[in-house]
Amino acid sequence: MRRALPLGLLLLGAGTLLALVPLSRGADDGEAITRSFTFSSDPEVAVLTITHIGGLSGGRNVYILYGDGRLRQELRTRRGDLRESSEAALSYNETRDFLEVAVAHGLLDTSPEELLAELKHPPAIVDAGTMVVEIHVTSYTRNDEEQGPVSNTLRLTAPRTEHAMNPESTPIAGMAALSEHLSRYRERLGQGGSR
Amino acid sequence: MRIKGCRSSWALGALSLALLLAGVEPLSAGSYYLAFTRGALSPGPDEVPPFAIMHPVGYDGSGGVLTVGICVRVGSEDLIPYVQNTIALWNALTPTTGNCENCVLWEEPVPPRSFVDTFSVLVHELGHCAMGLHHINLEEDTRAATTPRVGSCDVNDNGTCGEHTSFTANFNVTTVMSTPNPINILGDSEDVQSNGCPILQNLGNQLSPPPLQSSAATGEPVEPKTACLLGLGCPGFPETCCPPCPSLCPSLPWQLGDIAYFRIADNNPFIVDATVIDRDTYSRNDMVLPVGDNYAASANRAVGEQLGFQNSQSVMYSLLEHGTRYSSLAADDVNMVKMGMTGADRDAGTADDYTIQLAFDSACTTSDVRVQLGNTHIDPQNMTTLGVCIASIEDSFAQPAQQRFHHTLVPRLPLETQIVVELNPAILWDFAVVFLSGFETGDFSEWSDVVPPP
Repeated sequence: MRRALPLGLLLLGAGTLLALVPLSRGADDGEAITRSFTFSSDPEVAVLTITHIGGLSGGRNVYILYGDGRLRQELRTRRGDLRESSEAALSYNETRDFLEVAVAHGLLDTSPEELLAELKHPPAIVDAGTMVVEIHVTSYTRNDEEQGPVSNTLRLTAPRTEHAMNPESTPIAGMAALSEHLSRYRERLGQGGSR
Repeated sequence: MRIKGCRSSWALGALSLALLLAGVEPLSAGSYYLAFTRGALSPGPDEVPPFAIMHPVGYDGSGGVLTVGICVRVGSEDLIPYVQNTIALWNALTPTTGNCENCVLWEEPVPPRSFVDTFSVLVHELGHCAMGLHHINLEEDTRAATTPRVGSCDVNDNGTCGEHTSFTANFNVTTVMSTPNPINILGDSEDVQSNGCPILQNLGNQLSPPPLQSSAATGEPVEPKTACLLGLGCPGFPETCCPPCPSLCPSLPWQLGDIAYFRIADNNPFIVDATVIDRDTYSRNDMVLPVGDNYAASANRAVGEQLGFQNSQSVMYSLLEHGTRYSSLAADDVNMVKMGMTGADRDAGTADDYTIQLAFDSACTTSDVRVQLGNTHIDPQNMTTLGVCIASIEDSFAQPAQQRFHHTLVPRLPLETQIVVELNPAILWDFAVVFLSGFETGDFSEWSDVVPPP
């Protein structure tokens, strides 16, 4: 079982923050994986974007987390036109924690093909729509190996159901956890019942 | 107009060559539940052939009345009248025209925001979960990167893979050519669907494996993927006509899979008449299409207009916009269900024919299908997905490995013990309108605008 250890932080200077995210992958491989990352604090840089693309509606529900902690929600039509938006302000710790959910689940190490390969059961859900996650960090270190700036885009249909069907998969759990993490800010975003 | 890819006259020569090599009859093409996603899987027990028919839960090959119990979960009582009306609609199996109000296609502009029609969404989702149907239109395959296929999955060539289109349902297609006659209508009988490599674009639909010649002789569908016997690799083809796959190009390209059924006599999915639907009148084998037709016509609204049927569309089209409302079923919806009801022999009027009786259960204890508003499967932060159907499939009864025609819907164990339709509580459903229009303040002036339950 994966577990997160205490987090260390370093402020490197204006525009870039460093978050150290040490964690253990678990008893199956017996090897702790240490990860750290820095992310831009630029208010114009999207460090994490989560897009839900509706199945039967085709609409897009976009959550964009900027480097300065601004979380923007956009409801868009299937053609990309903006229908409504709202914003919330996250603290530095909240911004870092949000990104940590992605990093700690290995979403910077997982390719789109590898994520699909994690699906061990045949498709059995329709109209569920797809979740697209885009992550951007200014630097990423894995087991003391510097990876440089890293961007990654992953997509998964029905992440909640797939997580339930594939509980052993860390990346799938990460996709589900990211979306779940959004619920913390639902009230601040003023989400109502609409699309 | 060519939408994507290329077509070469030498493809016809290749077809002739392939037929000579294969020594068999050529073969080809609403769709059935999971035929799209399961058909594109690697060969194995989870893969289903494109000709598979998906039957409602409980079907085991027997004739008679097949009863499917449907309930509404406690806490979702708002849905009850809509579910009951949906049950009545599917039980009646009455084909109609002019059944769709404000139907919008994927390639058309987005209508103004309004409410989402609960009844229409339930008709669609129970079309999946109770009746065994899938979408009539083509969805770009997001799993292309891991599927051994040739070419990009961006069928409509707009730079994005994984979108829905109005072309007729298929899988592994990489090229669709559609002719402007006089306007370009996606999903009509003039479309040509194929793989990316020109030599394969016809072969993919025509080859059939030698062991199934008997099926080909009767004009019935056989398994096309297993027929790719030529061993032709992507590198041998012009790059522009055989674009590289997202990963390495497979050495043995897979074939496209026709999954759309059509009326043999007229390829018209809107016709309401007394034609008996069975293997003699209804097929997915495009070699028995009417002369001049290239592909199974899809029952979308634009094709309906082309054929003289206004405001008509299959309820299984994969887009349901604000303001769209289905009042009844289209002929294509009914025909697909009737084809399944012909039973194991796919002949109407024989002892193994069955009828479907959907029954509303007041409690969910023993129900086959459970309907709910909730977030068990739909993420609470997902404000756009309307509803989902969660069900798996299994062989209806023992069948030869390459002739697995019949499959039955079953719960997706261990996740669910029932087949589940879940609607997203975040959506502004029409039944919720009264509570947003002055209910709490006592201002009922807008109540006359509320659409009552159907």
